Amino acid sequence: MGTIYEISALTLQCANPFAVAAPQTSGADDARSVTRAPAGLLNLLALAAASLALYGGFFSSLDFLWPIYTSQTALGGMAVVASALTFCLVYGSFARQLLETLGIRAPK
Amino acid sequence: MEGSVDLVGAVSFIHVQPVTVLALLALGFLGGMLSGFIGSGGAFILTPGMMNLGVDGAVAVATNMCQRSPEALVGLLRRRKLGHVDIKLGLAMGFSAVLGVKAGVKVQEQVLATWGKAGSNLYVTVAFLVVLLAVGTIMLRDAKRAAVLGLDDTAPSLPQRIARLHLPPMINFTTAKRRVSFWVTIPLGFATGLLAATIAVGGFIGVPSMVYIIGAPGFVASGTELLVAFCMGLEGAFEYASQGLVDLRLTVIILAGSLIGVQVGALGTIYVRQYMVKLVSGGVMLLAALSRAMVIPTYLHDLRLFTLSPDLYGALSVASAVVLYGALLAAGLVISTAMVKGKREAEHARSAVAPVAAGEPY
Repeated sequence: MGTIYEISALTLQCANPFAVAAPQTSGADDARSVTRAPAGLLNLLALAAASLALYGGFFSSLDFLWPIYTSQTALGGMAVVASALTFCLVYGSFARQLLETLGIRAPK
Repeated sequence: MEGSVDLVGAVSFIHVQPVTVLALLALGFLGGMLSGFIGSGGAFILTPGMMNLGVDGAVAVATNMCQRSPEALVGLLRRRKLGHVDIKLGLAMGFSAVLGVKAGVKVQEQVLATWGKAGSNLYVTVAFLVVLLAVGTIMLRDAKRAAVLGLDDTAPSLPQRIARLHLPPMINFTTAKRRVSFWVTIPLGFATGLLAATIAVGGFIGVPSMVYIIGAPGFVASGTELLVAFCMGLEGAFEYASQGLVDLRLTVIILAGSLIGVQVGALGTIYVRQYMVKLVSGGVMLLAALSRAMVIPTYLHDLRLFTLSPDLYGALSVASAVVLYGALLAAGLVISTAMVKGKREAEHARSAVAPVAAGEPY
C-alpha cells in the first residue's frame, strides 16, 4: 500500500501541467510556466496533425494497401505489424499529450 | 506454401460503417480503460466485443493480438520507468510464450480449415467461456476474502513451496524479489502463449501464474506481463497477419480508443484498492462469459448441429451484445467513480498535511 500512496502523491504533484503557472510563483518559475503551456499546446497540435495525416493516409490508400495486408505472405505479415506499431507510436504520443493537456497524466 | 490452407477464403471481413467505427472506438476506449485498470488481460473484452459486431472469431483474435502488441509496448515503456518490470522474468516467460503462440496459431488454423468460421467461432467462444468463468470466479472469491479480512489483497502460499524447488538453472528475479527455477517458467510461459493465440489474451494465465506460482508482487506481475504480451503479440500478429487474418482497419480504430482508455485506467489503479480492481475485473469477466454463453446456440446452428428460429437467433445475438457492452459501460462508470473518489480523498489527505508542513522551520 505504501508504494501505491507514494505513486499517488507523485501523480498529484504532476497531474496538471498547467498547474505550475499559479499566481504565487515568481521570477524564473513564472517565466518557465508561461513558455511551457504554449509549447505543450503546439506539440499537441503537431501530434494531432500527424495522427490525422496517418489515419487519413491509411484509409484513403486502403485500395492499394489491402492486397498487401491480406497477401498471406511474410511481407504482408511484416507490413501489418510495422503499420500497427507506427500507428501506436504516433497516435500514442498524441493520446498521451492530449491527456496531459487535459490534466490527466499517468504516474511517472 | 506447401501444406498451407487458404484461410482468407475461410473467413470474411466486415463492412465498416460509421456506426461500426463508433462502436469500435467505444470498445477500444472501455477495453483499454479496463486493461489499464487491471494491468493486463483487460483486452479480454475486445475479442468478444468484435465478435458481437459480426467479426469472425479467428479475425477477432488475430486483430486483437495485432493491437495488443504495440499497446503493450507503450505500457511497458511507462511501467519500466516505475520499476514494475522484471526484464529477466519477462524474457524467460516470453521465450516459452512465443512457442505457445506458435502452437496456438497452428491449432486455430486447423480448426478454421476443418470446421470453417462457425467452428472457429465456437472454439474461441468455448475457450473464452471456460477461462472467463474460472478466472472471474477466482478473482471474485479473492476480492471477497480480502474485503472480509480488511486486507488490501490476499497473499498466496504456493510460491513458498515453488521457491523450495531447486532445479538448476535457478534464476534470481531481482525486481520480483524471487529465486525460481527456469523450468518453472517454461510451462507457465507456454500456457500463456497458447491462450493468447486462442483468445488473444494471455494475461489471464501470465499474471496469476507470476503472482500465485512464482510469487511476484501484483504490480510487478502486471508490469512484467506487458513484456511477455509484447513478445507474444509481435509473434502472434506476424503469424496471423502472414495468413491474412488481421483486419488492420479494426486494429487502428480500436487503438484510437484504447490508447486513451489505457492511460485513464492506469491512473485509476493508484486510487483504488487491489480488491476493488479484482471485484470489477471478476464481475466483468463473469458477465462477458454469460454474453459468450448466449451465442453458443447460434454457432451450433451455423454448424447445423442445432436449429434455431430466425427470431431466436437474432434475439440471442442482440442479448449477447447488450450484456457485454452493458458490462463494459458499468465497469467504466465504476472505475471513473472510484478514481474521482480516490483522487478527492488523496487531495483531502494532502491538504490536511500541507498546513503542518508549512508551519515547520526550514
